Formats: sequence, structure tokens, C-alpha cells
Amino acid sequence: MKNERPPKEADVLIVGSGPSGSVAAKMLTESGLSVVTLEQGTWFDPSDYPGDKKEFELAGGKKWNPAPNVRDNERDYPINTSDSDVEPYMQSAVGGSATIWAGHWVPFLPSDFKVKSLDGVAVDWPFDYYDLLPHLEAVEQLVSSSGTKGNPGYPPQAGYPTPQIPIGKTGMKLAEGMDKLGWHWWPGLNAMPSIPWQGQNPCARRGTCMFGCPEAAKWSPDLVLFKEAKKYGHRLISGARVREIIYDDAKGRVTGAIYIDQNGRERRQLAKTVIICANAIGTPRILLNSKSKTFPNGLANSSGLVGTNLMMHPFGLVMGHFEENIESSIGPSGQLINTLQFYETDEKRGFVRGAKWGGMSAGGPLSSKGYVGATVFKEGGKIEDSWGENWHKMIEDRFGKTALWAIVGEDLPEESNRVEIDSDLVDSDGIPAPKVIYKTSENSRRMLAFHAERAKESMEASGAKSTSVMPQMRESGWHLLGTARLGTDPKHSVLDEFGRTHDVPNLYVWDLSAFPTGAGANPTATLMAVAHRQATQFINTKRNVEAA
Amino acid sequence: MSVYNEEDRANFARLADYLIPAYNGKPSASSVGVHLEVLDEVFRIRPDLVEGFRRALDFCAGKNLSEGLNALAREDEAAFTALTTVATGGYMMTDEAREAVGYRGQEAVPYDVNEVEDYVTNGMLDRVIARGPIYRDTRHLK
Repeated sequence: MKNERPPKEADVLIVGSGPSGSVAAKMLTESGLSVVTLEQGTWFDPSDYPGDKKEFELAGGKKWNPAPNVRDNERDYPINTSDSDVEPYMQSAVGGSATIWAGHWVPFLPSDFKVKSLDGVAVDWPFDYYDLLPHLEAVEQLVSSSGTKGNPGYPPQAGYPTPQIPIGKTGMKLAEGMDKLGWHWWPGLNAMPSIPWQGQNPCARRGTCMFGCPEAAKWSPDLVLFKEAKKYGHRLISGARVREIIYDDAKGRVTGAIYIDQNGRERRQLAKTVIICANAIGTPRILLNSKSKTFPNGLANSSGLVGTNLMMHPFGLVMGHFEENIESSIGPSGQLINTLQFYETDEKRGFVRGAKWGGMSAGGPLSSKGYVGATVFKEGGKIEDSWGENWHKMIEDRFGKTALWAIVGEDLPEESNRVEIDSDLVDSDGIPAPKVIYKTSENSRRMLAFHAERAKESMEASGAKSTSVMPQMRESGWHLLGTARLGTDPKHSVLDEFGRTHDVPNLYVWDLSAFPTGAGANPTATLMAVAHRQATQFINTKRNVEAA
Repeated sequence: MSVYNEEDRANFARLADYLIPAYNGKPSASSVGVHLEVLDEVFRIRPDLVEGFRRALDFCAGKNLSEGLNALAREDEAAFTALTTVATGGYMMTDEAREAVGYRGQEAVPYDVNEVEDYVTNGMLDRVIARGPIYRDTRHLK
């Protein structure tokens, strides 16, 4: 493949190179379309990740912190979170936030697509689990997943390309508690192979997934899909920060994007079709910044819903501290096991919907403190309670001896939780930055409190000598969803069921913004499956696609 | 060239040893050199801690260790967090401290992917399967 200039006008322009953008890029390029992807971030080299270096735990607090407001790299854009209960997480890189995701592969369940019909809340999706299943099975191959077939938490499905990664002593300890209680658990399904597979190395169980995988084992788009797409002529332009999508009022179509390159120069990439995959904060930011005569309040925003219904999964942690060494610094991290025991609605609990728990290891010695928060000085206390000899004792008690349940709950959509354009804040290229307004709901609070109590019971059944509970964490915005929802009614949704905007026939959104509800599970598996479905439909009907 | 002179380093060593003293076979912070080259290495990795760390040193200068650190934690939590992060982060990067707590870093751990796990042979997973499906089916909603 020669290093040719990108076409002046591509068939398809994709904005964002995360999981959904990469699925789109691979599939559309392989179908014969000319495809250009713009990514605001740059390439990471796995050897740069800190997981195999002495500074691992220290570096995680800044350069590799998942919060862009903390990281504050030149490629990050700032987010005003002064009115948000949760700090959003993301990464600016080729591969997007998947460069620092945990690799937890937790497909949504059938009920997640029918919450209105089943539980009378939010909205149903315009398609269901069974429509999506073939696409899910396809992307499970793409990500070189590893796991164990037959989980009774799900309807039967095809299985995974590589065998189960060991759950280790920590996973076994967690499973023993669930077994005693008669509760559901299953060995962890992860987007990382256990044997060399499709150019990915096997997981080394280093346990540093959320700070980048130095083994190049955990799946991320930069490792695999873009390399495959390049063989077919895909062009990826990194360091390209999109300022706006170009809309032609006369044609009623989008014609491309204006972006700022890494040298600060304004450039245009024209295209017949534009697909935005810039995450549930980045996508509405771009749409709201793209104003025209037809769309003075933001592109494709005749419904007024662009930016609204932001969901961020309520997230809590329950730790069990054990007498014996359970080797809890060993990964993957990654989920060792998980449970869907309390996933479905039981109205007796005082809330609707539920949560998935991921059983995880606890990391290095500094995480023994960090996982209970930075607060080591409580009101009325004194520092000697946590420092001096007590600091050593805390590490003796916890390091290597701590198992985690990470609780991911369903967040119901509310229009008041939203992304706007901040009136003052701009990024390093002067592009207006987003403001997030987000309040945790009473349903979420009750849900997390209930699940934390059950997780504590599970730890005690496992034999934990003590437990630590964080029922609600601000630093937890891993999953951003819902700000350009799909649906059938243009008054109540931004996109149709195939992710095409109701307002503009050649503009699509295929990232988590499109999700009308968020489920209580890590969303990447379903995100990629939905992108696979949308790309399949696009390819199958491309002769009829309306272009600029 | 480091911005920290010998007096700064000595002051930090005193504070760090109060936070991380020698205990039960574990070395104290200063005995592994958190106030020496390690300090410069910490700030190479975490330049964002410089400002808070400096405030912490200045705040505690000339004060009784316990009184100074307790007052710092109450009055300038960010500086206290910077100070403790520098102390613990530097400490755990040293070979001596790692050996004492039994931490060799986040190591790659070899495994045999064909080895049958205990939860398969002891019936634990079979019991999960025997309890049957727990998801709510939705095919009737088509």
C-alpha cells in the first residue's frame, strides 16, 4: 500500500477511531468504499504504557489517568464538570478510549432492549437482542475474545475464539462465596486472547488493562482493525480535531468536516457520507458546534434532543480483605468472574433494573489505599490513624489479599442530564468545549446501595475478614451513553434504527450516543455489535444511500 | 538541575519518615532515599505534584511533625495528598521497599491455557448451570 494522499472527496468520512469507528472503517473499506477516518488523538505505542514499569501506580494518577480533565494532555479537550456528579472518562488516541478500557466483554441482555415493555420505564429499542446476536457473535471474533461458553445468564450463543484465561486465586475466592450463596457467577469473558490470535499476543495477566496493555494483548482498534483496514486502502488521519461538520443548506446534505491538524492548520475533508463515532460527549459537542441556517441549534437537532439523555453508569466498589494471600495483584483486569444474579428488575427492592458485578483483582500496594479513595484523613480523625505504622499495617493487611466486586448499574435516561457547549471553555485549538450537567438519580442510589449490601454478603460468604464499601464514586465515568438516541419517532429521537439522523439523510451516528438506554453492563460489546449491524445495513443498501 | 536544595530534602525526609517509618522489617522512607534521586524521578513522572508538594514543605517548615501534618491535612488537603503521593509513590518504586512488602511489580504470569480449572472439576460451575437460565426472555415481545 502506497502512502497516498486521502481522496479529496471520500465515499465515507468517519469521525473518531474508537470501537465503533474502527468496526465501521474496517467493514466499509473492505466493501470497496473509500473511507477516511479523522482522529483527534495520536498513536500510542504499547511499549509506552506504564504497566510493566516501576512507576506504574504513580503514573496512573496523571499521564495515564482516564479523566481528560486530570490528564490535561494537549490532545485532550477540557470538559466543564462543575455541575456533574460523575467525572467523565475517555482517551484521545487512535483506538479512542479502548486503548485504556478494561476489556470486560459483557453483552447487554435481552431485557435491556425492552425496558419500557417489561418495566414501564424509559424506551424500548427499535430492535432487540436476537436481531443483534449475529452481529455480536461476529465482533466476538474480531476482538479475539476469551471465555467459557454456556453462561446461563444469557440465551445460548456460539462461543469464543480462544479459551478461558485463568480466574486465579482471587477469582476462585469470589466464586466460592457465590457458590455458597447459590448465586449466579461465571468465569470472566474478556476482549483479550489467551493464546496468540489475529496479531494479538496472549494476555499476560499483568493486571494493568486500564492503563494500556504493554503486551499488545487486550483488544483495541489500533492493534488490529485499522491495520486490516489499511490493506484495503483506508486512510486514518491522526491529530485531526474536528471543529464542525459541513452542512450545505441548498442540498440538505452534509459534505464533509472542517478539522484542525496537529500543526494548527484548518483543513477540510469532503465526503459523500459522514459517520460520527466521537463518544457521547464528543459527538454532541461536534453536532452542537455545527450550526447552519437550517440548523441554528446544532446539526440534526430539530428534535432538540442532541446532547440530552446522557447516561453514565452508576458505579460502586466493594472490597473484601482476606486473611490469606490470594495473589490479588495478578490480572487480567479484565474481569476474573462476573455475576448477573441481581441484574433483572425486582420491584420489592425499591428500584427498577439492576447491575452487573465484575470480580477483579486489586492491583499493587498503593492501590490498597487508592481503591478506598484518596481520603486518608477523616473529619474528627488524625493522620496517625492512617499513616506511620498504620500505613504499613494497612498494606500488610490488604496487598495481595483484596478482591473487588466492581458494580455497574443501569442509569435510566433523563433529559435533564445532558451535554451542552460551555459558554467560555475552549480546547487548545480554540474550539468550544463541552459542559456536562449530570445528577445521579434516586433509582441509581437505591440500586447501588442494594447491590453494595449483597456484594458485601458475597465477600463475607467468601471468607473475607473485613470489607470496604464505596457505594457511589465520582471518579467513575467510564461509560458515556445516550446523547443522540436512536428510535422510530423523529420527535423523540435523533437517529433512525440504523443510526442515520432523521434530519440529514447522509449523516450517521454509530457510537454510544445512539443508545436509547444504557443497560447495567459494560457497553463495548454491544457498541461494537450495533456498529456491525449498522455497517452491514449500510453496505447492503449502499446503492441506495443518499449522498452529498 | 533539581529545584530542591539539601534543606528541602532534609525537611521532606523528616515528613516522609513520619508518614512511612521503619516497621516490622520494612525500611523507612528516607532509608530508601525518597528524598534523594527518587524525588527527582517522582517529579519527572508527576510534575503535577510539584506545586502542592512545595506548599506542603512550606506549611510544615518549623512545625512539630504531628501538628504540622494534621493541620496541613485539615487546611490544604490537596497539598497533603501531593506530599503523601510523592512519599508513597517514590517509596514503592525502590527495590528495597518492594522486596520488603513482597511486590515485584505487575508481572507477566505464565499459565497453561489447557489446564482444567478447579471450578470445573469440583462441580462449582455445574451447579451454576444446573440452576438454569436467569435472564428474562423477550421473544414474546417481537
